[in-house]
Amino acid sequence: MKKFVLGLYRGLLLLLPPGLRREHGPEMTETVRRRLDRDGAGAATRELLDLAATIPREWVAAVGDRAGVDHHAKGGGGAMGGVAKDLRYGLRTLVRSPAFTMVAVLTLAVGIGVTTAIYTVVDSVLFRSLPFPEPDELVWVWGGPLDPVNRSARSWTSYPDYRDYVERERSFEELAAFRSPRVILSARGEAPTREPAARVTANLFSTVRVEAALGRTFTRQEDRIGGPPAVVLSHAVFSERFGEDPGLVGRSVTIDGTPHTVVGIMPPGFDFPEGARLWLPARPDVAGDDRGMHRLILVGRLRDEVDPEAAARDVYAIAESLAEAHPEDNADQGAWAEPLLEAYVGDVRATLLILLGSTGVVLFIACLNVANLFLARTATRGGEMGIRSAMGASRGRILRQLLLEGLMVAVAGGALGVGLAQVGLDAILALAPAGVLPRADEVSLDGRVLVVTAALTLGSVLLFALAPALRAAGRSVGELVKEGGRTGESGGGRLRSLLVIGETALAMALVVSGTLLLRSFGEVTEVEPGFEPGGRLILPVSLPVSRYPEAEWERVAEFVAELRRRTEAVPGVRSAGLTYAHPLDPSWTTGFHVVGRPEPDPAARPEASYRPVTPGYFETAGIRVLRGRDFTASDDGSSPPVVMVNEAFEERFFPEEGAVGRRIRKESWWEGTPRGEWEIVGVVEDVRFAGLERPTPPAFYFPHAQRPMNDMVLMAHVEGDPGPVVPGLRQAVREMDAGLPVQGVRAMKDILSETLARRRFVTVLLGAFGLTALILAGVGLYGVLSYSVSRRSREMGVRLSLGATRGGVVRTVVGQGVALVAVGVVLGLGLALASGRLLESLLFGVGSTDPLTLGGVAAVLLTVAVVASARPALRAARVDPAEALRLE
Amino acid sequence: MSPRTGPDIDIDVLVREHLPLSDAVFHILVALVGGALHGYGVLLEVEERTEGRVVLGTGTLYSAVKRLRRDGLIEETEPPCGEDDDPRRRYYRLTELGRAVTDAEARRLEAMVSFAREKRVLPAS
Repeated sequence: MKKFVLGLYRGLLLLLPPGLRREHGPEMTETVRRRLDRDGAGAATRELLDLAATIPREWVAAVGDRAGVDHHAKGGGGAMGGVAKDLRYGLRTLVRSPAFTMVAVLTLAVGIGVTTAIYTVVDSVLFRSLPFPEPDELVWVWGGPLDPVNRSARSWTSYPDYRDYVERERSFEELAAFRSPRVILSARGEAPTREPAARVTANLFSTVRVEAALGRTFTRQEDRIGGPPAVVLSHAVFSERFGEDPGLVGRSVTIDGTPHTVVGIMPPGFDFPEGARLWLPARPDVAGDDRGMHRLILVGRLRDEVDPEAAARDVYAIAESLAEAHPEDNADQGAWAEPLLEAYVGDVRATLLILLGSTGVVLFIACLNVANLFLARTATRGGEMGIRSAMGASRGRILRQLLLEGLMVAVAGGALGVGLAQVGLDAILALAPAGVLPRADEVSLDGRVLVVTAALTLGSVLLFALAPALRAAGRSVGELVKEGGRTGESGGGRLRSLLVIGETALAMALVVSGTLLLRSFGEVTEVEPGFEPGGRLILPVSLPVSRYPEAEWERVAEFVAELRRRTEAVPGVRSAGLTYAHPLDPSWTTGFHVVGRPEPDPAARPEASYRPVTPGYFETAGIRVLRGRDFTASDDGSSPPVVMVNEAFEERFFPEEGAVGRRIRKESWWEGTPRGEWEIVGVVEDVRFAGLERPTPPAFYFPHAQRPMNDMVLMAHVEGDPGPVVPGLRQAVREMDAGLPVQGVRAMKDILSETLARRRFVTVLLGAFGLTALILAGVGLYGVLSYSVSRRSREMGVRLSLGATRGGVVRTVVGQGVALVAVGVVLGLGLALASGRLLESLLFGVGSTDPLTLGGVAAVLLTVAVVASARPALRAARVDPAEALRLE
Repeated sequence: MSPRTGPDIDIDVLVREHLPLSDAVFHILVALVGGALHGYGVLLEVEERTEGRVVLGTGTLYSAVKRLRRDGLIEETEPPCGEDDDPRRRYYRLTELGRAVTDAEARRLEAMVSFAREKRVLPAS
């Protein structure tokens, strides 16, 4: 407790003018510490409030010094003196009722702190611009179905299509393209690493208008087939692996086994797109020139006079004409444009706004509580107000004094709130897993947020100090004195009860939202992923094209098969297999044609997720083969082409006849591999590679030996402790080729857990808000009932003396509390239903009107009512009737 | 040393400039009459002397200390001999000017009390 107060004190010291803080700050902390040692909790309140009063006084003095104002603190002279007096008086009054002051300050601090923290996050993510000049002019150009109903589907484009877009478009200043492979970077004398790279057209950098910090970016010559191999490095790679050696530009490094000349280094923090750590020219290779291979993403900068909708129409028209001209590759391929910022934050926007709304509710509840507290205080001080007024204090003076008291509480609450906000922000950023909040590393409390907090604080002051102050100041002296001594409910009591009902309704809505999210989270975790995550390790294995060219595909196939055999020999490994895309990787989609069917209907475009695998993969991953057979070693380059599909594929394309035995046609780009028609030999269960919450799209699995990809993922089913197996896996790869990077071993369990990360994050936050609201509402109810009981002590005394039992009194008070909350709950039901509808996009497996949740939360609130009523009720029952009657 | 002391400035004028003192400042200066104290010591002294009626807050104390130092009424000093606790503690003592101001204020207050006694607001001593 003492540590907390000292920490608080130190934090508040930061608000002093620098002169005093630097000169005497440490002394002050030390002195307060000794005070606390000696006098305990009473001293804590006094010192904190003293500091809170000193801060504005010192700032006023500091400003006065600058202006050459006479700074001798004279007792009663002038407006300054008057304000100082009022401050001192207010401070004394606040100190004399520490419970009220602490509860008020803490309540405000919690409300403001939570709101500021969340607002900082939302502001940073939603409203601050991307680090490019004029980012609102940048758009993604996506492929998508021609049918505009499915507009928000995002798929990719091919290189020949890109060239056509560039030729025909009329909306863009610049249009660039890229894709994001992983490549192997070898530096002299160090282990090779796999780095996320981006293959970009030379004009990508000019499209986003970011230049190299050292050297230059690509020229046109370098972006051509056969052009000189060049690479641009990120600042991250530059400093991590090359020690920021400026002589690096012009030297050569090895990428995928081929020497590349480093032509430039990008500025720190630039990792566009998608976290790229180095850039290579996109230059099309043989595979890339295939119009059917959609693996490029386009980004463009709009012309000044063009808006995103016009650009979208433009590219759509181009896509339409391409679809007509090239039906085998581009059937049903449309296009649309999406502003970059939209895409960066789009998914999270709904979530962030919901969070912001919730914090607004919490702040509102906090303000209602503090309003309640001040109302009660002012009512009991009616007598004091009356006397002061009788002694000549003007109405304005009284108003000012009350307002200053409120201001002090608001300032203290605001200052504490900012401190809490910083703590809360750090907690949120620590809790938010990487990538859940876009650009989370750029988030920090900034001046604008503090301005908003100041506005919130001042707003709170007006809300809770002014209203009761006006109420008190507007009455005649006689009224006030009477009210001060009176017992029984006054008009203020009614208002306070209304406030509690309001708080309860809000809390109900918030807690229901939190509970719905909690249940959704539970539902999501119950979803069967379609594979077995436990005990499965993966290691990406990439064979560089320079040493394993596509012409030698048989070597690649043999390598992969042999790697599988060796991995199975590693002790602890039960089985192994390789796949192009692990079970939670959506991979990319590619088109095909069902043999025996008429030309594809554009609306039902046959595309499926492309997933080459080796035999043994399904067993290793725990994916069940439902019908037909798995691949075997004899499904190789010289045997008939075969393919396996998932249930979704079968349901979509062969719902009645079943998929096994049917044929599809798919071109192959390796010379000499089986081509033409592929027979479906097996159906596997659906794996949730597109996300746990979405239905699985159709997918087809090809034997690696027949479609030998260079980039694969090795998966091992490990028995027992995976730790000792990891070096064995790495060894198996290195034995086959020492130049291959072997980092990146991961457990599928961890990857699965990460997919839940965002949902978990939001659920925890909203749960915390709900809990806070519940506590605040409980505190509010307790305050109202306490006050009501103390006012009605005479009434209780009369009742008891007339024969009422103590049990009866307890029941009355508790009944009062429950009644208030019950009304709040009923109102809250309506609010909860409304807020539930806002939440719908985040819910899974539970409806927004779920009666179990609504009923459960109502029960919880009523329980809180009983608990909060307990102490006041017991106090009421303990009233000595003789005492009570006598005091009146 | 106060910044404007010189042979041809009347010390009386200098002193009068600082009057009247606020309550807190007066208490602090009086506390230091008995010798140098550190901040916490001043607080304790004031609390004891007034039997708990006046409890100064730390913020109030040190903002006054800062101002008094600037105006030359007190100055930082070496810890008195025999004090062997924390060497980082800072001690303060009255300057000549500080003593004079304290003295002047006490007399002023005494004069006010005298007037009140004459008019029978307070009982005769």
